[in-house]
Amino acid sequence: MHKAKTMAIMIGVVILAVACTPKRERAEIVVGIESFPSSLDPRYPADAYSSKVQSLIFNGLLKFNAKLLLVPDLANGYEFLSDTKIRFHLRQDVQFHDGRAFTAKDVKYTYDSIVKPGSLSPLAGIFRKIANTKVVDPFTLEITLKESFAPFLTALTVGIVPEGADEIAGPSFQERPVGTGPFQYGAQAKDQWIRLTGFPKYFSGAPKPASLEFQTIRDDTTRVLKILHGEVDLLQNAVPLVMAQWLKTRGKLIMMSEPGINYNYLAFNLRDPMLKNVRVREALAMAIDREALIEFQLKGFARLATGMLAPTNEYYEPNVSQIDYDPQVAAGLLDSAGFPDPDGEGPAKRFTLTLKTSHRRDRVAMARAIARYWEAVGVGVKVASFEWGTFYRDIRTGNFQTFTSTWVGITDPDIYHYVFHSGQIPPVGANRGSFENATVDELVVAAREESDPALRKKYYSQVQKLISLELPYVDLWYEDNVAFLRPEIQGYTLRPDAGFMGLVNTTRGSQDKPETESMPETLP
Amino acid sequence: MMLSYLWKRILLLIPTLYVVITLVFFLVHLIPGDPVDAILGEQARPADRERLVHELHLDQNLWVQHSYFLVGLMHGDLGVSLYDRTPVSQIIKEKFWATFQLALFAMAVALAIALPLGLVSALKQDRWEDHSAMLVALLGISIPNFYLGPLLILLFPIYLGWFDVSGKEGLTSLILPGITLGTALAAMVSRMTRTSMLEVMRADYVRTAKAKGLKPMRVYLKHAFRSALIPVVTVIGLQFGALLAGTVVTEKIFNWPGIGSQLLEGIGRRDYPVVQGCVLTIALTFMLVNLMTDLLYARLDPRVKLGKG
Repeated sequence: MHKAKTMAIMIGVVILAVACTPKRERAEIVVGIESFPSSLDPRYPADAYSSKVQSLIFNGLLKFNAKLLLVPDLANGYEFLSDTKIRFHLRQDVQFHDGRAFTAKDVKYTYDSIVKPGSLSPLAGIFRKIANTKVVDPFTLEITLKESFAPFLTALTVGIVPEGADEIAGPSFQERPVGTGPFQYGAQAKDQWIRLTGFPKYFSGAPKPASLEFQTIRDDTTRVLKILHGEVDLLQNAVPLVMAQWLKTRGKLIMMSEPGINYNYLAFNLRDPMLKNVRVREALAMAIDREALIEFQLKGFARLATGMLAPTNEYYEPNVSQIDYDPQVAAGLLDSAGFPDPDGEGPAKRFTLTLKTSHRRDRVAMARAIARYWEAVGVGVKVASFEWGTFYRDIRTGNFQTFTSTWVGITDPDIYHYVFHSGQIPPVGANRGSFENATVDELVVAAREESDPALRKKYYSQVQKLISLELPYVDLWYEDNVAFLRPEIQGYTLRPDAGFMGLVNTTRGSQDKPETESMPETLP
Repeated sequence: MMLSYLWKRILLLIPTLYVVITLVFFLVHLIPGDPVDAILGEQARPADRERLVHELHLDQNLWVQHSYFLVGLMHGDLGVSLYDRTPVSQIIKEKFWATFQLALFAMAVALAIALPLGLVSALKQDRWEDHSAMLVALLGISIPNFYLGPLLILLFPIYLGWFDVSGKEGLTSLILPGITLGTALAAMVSRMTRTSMLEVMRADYVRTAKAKGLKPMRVYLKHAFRSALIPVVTVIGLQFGALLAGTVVTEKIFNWPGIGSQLLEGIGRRDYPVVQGCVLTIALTFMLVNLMTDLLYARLDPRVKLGKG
């Protein structure tokens, strides 16, 4: 049995090799996330987790505060010298993590590098609106735009990288990011975890936790089990709602939930011969009992939506046309639109639609629930779920009848241009259902050229009202942000955009403190 | 004799690998969706999309792309990840080792469970020991990994407080994924051991040995068991490949940074070079293990002559 011995030795060696992987010291706060941030360079905000982690390492000239208002960050203030010229006064007490002082040159470098030839930055489009970035003195900067473009300020939330970031030899900037933010980059194991450490010289004071770790845990169940076991301290919007209910009743963890801004919708393809009829769209919208879906499918963790902008948005328009659940009226509308039910309660359908969705389990369940409501008014539905890449390809190219999806983190109302302007019909933009309305076109263009916020607001109010009548989308709901924390974690606050800025004030207390004393719990 | 056989087998790997590579190449490119979406995100301008598509050679004929890949491969170059530009060979080097450790450990777990179980149930055929051992085996093969994994996590870390839920740090992190991955194999091997052992126990030479007055236990353990292992080795060899494939699910549950989770990630991002690299590695390992099994077979059973028929 010579072989057996060899085999045993081999296995022994392997086990030893694993045993030698040292156990890392636990970070003060460990956050479980669903997927690994694809980039730590703020000029490449490819996915939601990238932006959220980047915002802890970097600061922009401006930022969205906890109420999602645009406020100065690295800038002390700014003034419009004309419609196309903005002057920024910069903070003078800011240091990069490597000790260098922050100046206007860094800002210019960052913006120029986004648009340099060959740049793959998704931000290149909006930064090409800049005609010239001029360093007036180390702490004054002037940006001249090619044309008046109101949503431009939003782009200035992009994190500032130090001058010369791309020219440093060795590992690329993306692997060793240096910013001005409350946390500095520590280490990472690709696809597994990222470590950040507190930056003591952060300009608005050192953050409370000494170290943070973001751990990628792809499996839903494992993620939940890890927080139960205490290997993870915080899960934010990373627990399936079915399990959220169960976790909440277990009582050991702290649950926080607050209204969020992630907008769920159902889109129609207006090129479809049936769906181009607004009465059909209205009937289909009316046939869905959104309140019941929120209560039963989403366990109450959502609010009815009235448009793409959530109520927290400055440009939110509450007085839009609302559609209430009424299957009888819906059926009548379909009859009058020329789609009578051939046999009433019988199996024959008025017509059949395909409802596309991604393959996530909760998405599929939701699509099936919507399908049942449509079937109840005599419309046949085929629910087709696809793996994300396939699904995204289909909707991006306009290859669908109806689909459900989510717009994540909408802050600027200019999204209405991207989603509903007739010039944004695929393959160009995100007007995936080919919505065409001349008034909406004019309004969204006027609004982006108008720098007076009051006038902009007026335009966008009209846009929201028009869209609510035309129904290219069925507004479903805004998802709540739901976080679970270990009882020993204190001071965390949720933000409407589900960012991680609350970690700056979060600490790990001792475990024997009363569990829910200082813990906010805002439940619906 | 032995050497020329070995050479022949190794040469035969080349056409097989070519077929695998080609098949995988066209299959991954058939999946709808493309890596450009993953790289540029929602708001990409058409011009940027086109430029990137061109840079990644995605606008060229598939056969041309395929030949690029083959030429690279002949130079030992598996390409770079479309997603983050890391060389694929580097990704595989890191990830394969992790998977290999897990698979080997799972194998050890499987053997440690299966051989005694199979032996006992053969020796106690049709008695309660046999029935309960085979019931355990039935359970082992029927419970899917995606269910067994969370179950083990619930039992050990959550209720008993042993080990971490997931991750790859320290020796104990191998235990739960190892058991999860090894159970199905254990079940199969124990059944195989039982059957094979029963067969050998009825063989003439065993009867002869017993007739000569050797103690039955000694006959079974010393003579019969060794012969009974021959078909078992084949099963183990073949199943090692299945084990490697099975790591995809187990690695996801246990956050094991291996080639299985990398493959999953690669498919999601349409990262063609990474997918090709991972499949190539898995296929190559599978073939090499098969080859090794055949060689081992000859060592265990002198009646097997390699290279003849």
